[in-house]
Amino acid sequence: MKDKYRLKDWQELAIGGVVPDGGNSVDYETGTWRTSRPIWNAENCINCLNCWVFCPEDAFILKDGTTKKGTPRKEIERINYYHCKGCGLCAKECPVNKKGKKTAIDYVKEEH
Amino acid sequence: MSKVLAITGAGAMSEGMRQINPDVVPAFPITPSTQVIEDFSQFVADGKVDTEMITVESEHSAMSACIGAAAAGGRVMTATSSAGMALMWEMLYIASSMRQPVVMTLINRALSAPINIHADHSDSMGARDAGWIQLYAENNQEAYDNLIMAPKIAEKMDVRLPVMVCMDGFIISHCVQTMQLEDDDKVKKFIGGFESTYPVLDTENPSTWGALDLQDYYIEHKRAQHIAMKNAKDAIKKVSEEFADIFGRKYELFESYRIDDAERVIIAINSVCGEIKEVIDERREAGDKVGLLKIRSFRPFPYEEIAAALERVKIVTVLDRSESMGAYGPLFTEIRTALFDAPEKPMVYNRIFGLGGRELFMSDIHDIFEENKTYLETGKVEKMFDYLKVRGG
Amino acid sequence: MPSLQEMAKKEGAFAGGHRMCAGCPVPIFTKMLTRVTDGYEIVAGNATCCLEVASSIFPYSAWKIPWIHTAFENVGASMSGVETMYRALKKRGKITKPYKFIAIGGDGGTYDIGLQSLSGAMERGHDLVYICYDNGAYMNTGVQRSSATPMGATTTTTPMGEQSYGRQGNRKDLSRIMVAHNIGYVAQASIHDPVDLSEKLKKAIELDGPAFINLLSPCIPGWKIAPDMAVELARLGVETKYWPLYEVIDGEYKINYTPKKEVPVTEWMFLQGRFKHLNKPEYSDVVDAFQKDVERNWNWIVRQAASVELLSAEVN
Ligand SMILES: Cc1ncc(C[n+]2csc(CCOP(=O)(O)OP(=O)(O)O)c2C)c(N)n1
Ligand code: SF4
Ligand code: SF4
Ligand code: SF4
Ligand SMILES: [Mg+2]
Repeated sequence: MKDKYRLKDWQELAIGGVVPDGGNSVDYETGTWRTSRPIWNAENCINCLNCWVFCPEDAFILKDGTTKKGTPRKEIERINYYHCKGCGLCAKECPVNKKGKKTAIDYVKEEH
Repeated sequence: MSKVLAITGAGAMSEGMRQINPDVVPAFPITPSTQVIEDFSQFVADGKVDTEMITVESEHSAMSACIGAAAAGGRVMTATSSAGMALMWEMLYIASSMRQPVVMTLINRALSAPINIHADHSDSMGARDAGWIQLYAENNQEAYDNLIMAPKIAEKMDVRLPVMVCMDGFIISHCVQTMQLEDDDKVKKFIGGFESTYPVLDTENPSTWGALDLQDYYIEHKRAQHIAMKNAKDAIKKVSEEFADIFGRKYELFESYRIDDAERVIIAINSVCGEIKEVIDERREAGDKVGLLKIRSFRPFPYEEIAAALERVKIVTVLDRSESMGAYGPLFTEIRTALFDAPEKPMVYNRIFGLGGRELFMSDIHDIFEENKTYLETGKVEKMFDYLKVRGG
Repeated sequence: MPSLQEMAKKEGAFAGGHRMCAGCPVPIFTKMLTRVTDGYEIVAGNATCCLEVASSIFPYSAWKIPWIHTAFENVGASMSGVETMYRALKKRGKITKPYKFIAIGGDGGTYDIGLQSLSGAMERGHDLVYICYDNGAYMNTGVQRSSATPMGATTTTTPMGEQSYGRQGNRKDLSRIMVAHNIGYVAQASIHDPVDLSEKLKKAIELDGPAFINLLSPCIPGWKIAPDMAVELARLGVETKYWPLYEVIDGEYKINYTPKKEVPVTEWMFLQGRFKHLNKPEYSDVVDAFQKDVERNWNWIVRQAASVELLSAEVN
């Protein structure tokens, strides 16, 4: 298996410092930065997508779903912990959490 | 049709640019290079080229726009002088490190202060470490020929470096000389189409240009750039040969003028070489074995080739038209380095001349040859470093 | 107005795995760049700043669209070059698809060192959307003041001390300077309102010609706030009228949001560590001056918008 963190020789690099495959940062793990962890509760989620739009790490993974009336829509599938830095913004901005009765995202200390 | 015409050096550059018809020309005026972009603007206005011009608000932006446009995936040219290039400084390095084959006419002019619009080489010599190929010219024909060759050299896939095409301000840029203007179609055919590398406009393969290198990659990118500049030497030679095949005029990395049997040689750059050649011819008539080595490619610098050319020479006077305060002149430093490994080292010394456009007349050049004659006869270089023609000594 | 559901159908422009601080709100808008319009190829350029550095640490890049950075003070110029090459190649038949170009800078790269190249790009009329994310200081280099730093804020070059209460004097109003360029679209937006932002982005991108968006974007270490507070502080910035949301379309002002109730600016300031030192009676004059300036600015925008309404009423 190729070691993805192997440092390359100059002959292997593309010209002029270019990164030819933009978006390859997905291979870089930032989940190790986390000291707290968001936990998404599907049963309380109203799929408003606030967490998805605000998450700075693009960590909310969506799937295709439908509303109760059957209209197609995007829904939260899960949190990508490989990138989630545990900032807590999703939990803070979740409207269900804001109402204060239930939580659609819990925010707990990371256990290492 | 190819034709002989009387034209200024700046006019020759704009004619060359018209023939090349680059995709984009960002430009900002500064004496003495202004005429290049004025003429070119008229070509655009008259539909003689279909280049997109960007009349930027500064030279820093001119070079920034050159880099952006070149990285987008097309041929880019510009022109400047002196303070204009000084303002580009940061971007000169970025252009070469991002390996963009931008071609820039640099009409050499002194740097401020005091502000002075006349010829010396402090602008391009200060940029000698910026990673640009630097080609110099004695007259407008050579400057034009260098310009025509520049895109081909710059765009070679194992080079991909920007090229600075230099000539002396006013002395060449503003003086009318006759020269051969080659046929438009022949020039276009010689240069060929532009091939891009990871163009920014390729949205199907989105690339990232200008990423941050930490300690783990910076030096590898520099190494690649170093090799590209090494390759540039062959590229210049090859393109010059192709040029000679088609247009008849032959160029090397430097010109050796009557140095085969010469004992005493002047090494210089740009327009002063014209007068030096005349003086040499006069002295040769009288049997004096003198010669000239005229630098064409200062970056890359042809160390070994120069050492070989000076093999039988006994004394070398290096004329620098710029200062490196607290050090020898930049050309002298290179020449002495080139000679260090030579089996028979000639005597070599340095003279600074012509700063801010101060003329060097033929009589002054005769004086130089008289001086190095005395040095050779006495076996002693009296003064390693001095200024020529400065009041107060 | 692109809803979140509509935006969610489209591929974002910015991936995870970048190195911005936890809770940095900047990616909220970078993710969105490809989600607000249809039918355009989107190409972006960046000035040197936090975003640029943290998104492109070699050999990685978070940019899923073509992206170019060259230096700090010149994204207006380098993107002028990219946009012009597009027009040149289109004219020569080498490109057929429609493209749109986005230039991004921080407040330092835009209000300060890059103001000239921004001004040049806008004046020349390139088809370019310039987005300034204003976090009120040079954050990338460790929180030094910029001309966007609000009065009284401490930065590492305007520290609080016996002789100083922090940044002296008022910040520059860049949005108004951009209005004076007579371009088709200028807007202030805030990172807390993605829907309003997406609408503004869409208008700016779809406009044929230069457009400018000034975006309020709180900074975790720079404002000395908790990692989950950036959106809330942007919201309060708008609610206190520190950062009015408005658009100027062809020179005509329109306020996009009027706060429902008067919220004193201290409610925004004192949630931030950079203003904490002012929460003492001896600095009440600084805080009052801040509040007055916020009101003066808001009233000025209200008057511009009102005069537009008055004029159109007269025409009708
Ligand atoms: C010519 C130049 N001067 C200074 C710097 C150092 N520098 C890099 S980014 C930066 C500050 C950026 O501030 P801003 O534009 O507000 O973006 P932020 O980091 O706050 O997001 C500075 C001072 C530089 N890279 N180039
Ligand atoms: S904690 Fe922060 S990084 Fe993690 S999912 Fe929530 S918003 Fe994203
Ligand atoms: S913000 Fe809360 S309710 Fe909305 S989608 Fe996310 S988890 Fe569900
Ligand atoms: S310093 Fe501020 S602007 Fe920079 S990445 Fe961190 S939070 Fe974002
Ligand atoms: Mg900033």
